[in-house]
Amino acid sequence: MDAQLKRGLLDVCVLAAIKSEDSYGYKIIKDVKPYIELSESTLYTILKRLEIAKMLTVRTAEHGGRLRKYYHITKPGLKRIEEFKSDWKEIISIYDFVAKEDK
Amino acid sequence: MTKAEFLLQLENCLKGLPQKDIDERLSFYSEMIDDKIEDGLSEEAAVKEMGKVESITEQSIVNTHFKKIIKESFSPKAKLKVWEIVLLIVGSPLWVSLLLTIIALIFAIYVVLWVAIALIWVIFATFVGCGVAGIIASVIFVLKVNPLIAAATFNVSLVCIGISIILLLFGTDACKRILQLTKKINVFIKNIFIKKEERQW
Repeated sequence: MDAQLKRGLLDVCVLAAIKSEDSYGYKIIKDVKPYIELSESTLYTILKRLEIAKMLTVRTAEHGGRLRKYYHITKPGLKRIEEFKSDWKEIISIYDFVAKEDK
Repeated sequence: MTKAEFLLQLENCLKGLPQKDIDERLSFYSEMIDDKIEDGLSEEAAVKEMGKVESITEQSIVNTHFKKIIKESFSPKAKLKVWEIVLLIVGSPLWVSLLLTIIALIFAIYVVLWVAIALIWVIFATFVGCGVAGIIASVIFVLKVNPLIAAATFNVSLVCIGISIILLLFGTDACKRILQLTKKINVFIKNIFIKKEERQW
């Protein structure tokens, strides 16, 4: 897969993983991995980028005697998901056109 | 490798990055390892899944802004002694002028490279202009002057357009290579400061 395309998809996948409920690093990887390859180091970079872009917030909570960071999606993060869904409809229609040409 | 060994190795390799960034990364990987252990993996397996420390370090350096690394490298790790401050001030004509010379040299090299590329684009535009003008002229020559002259002009125009296509490919490739070189130099310079911190450690 094209590197730039994958980078855009990974951002949205991570946001989707925290859309319905706050989540933490390991769970995000488990949720996303069936769909797209995501390493721990890549996830760290993505989470930092999304935090700087104010698409998510971070809070620390106690879990089993240790601290764990939970990530919460914000309104800009939800907006990003909606933009992706809208862009994708356009991409699918272009794909249908290109695929039709090959037949 | 145990979790403690992994985190220590990672911390050593990340020396040179701002301490806050190092602590955040260590906290992230520590939490990730603990979650994997909680999920049923052994400590060794959980650490192995984090990947190689070298890969993590490289990605961290690439994703850290150059300014942050320079600022961290030049910030004093401990309060400066009086003689160190005096030496810095007295020696400033030397180290400041050396530093400025190095910066000016790097800048000059870049200016030369980009001027060379700009020249390629100027020549490209010239050949495109000649080609287009020649085609228009050859049409006029056919109608008003001489078909032979028109044919000659048209052929020269085609040659100009052919040369401009070659220059277009060459110019585009040269731009890509300069940008790739810039990225590599960026990472190389960042690594100098990171490795300098490792040696001090």
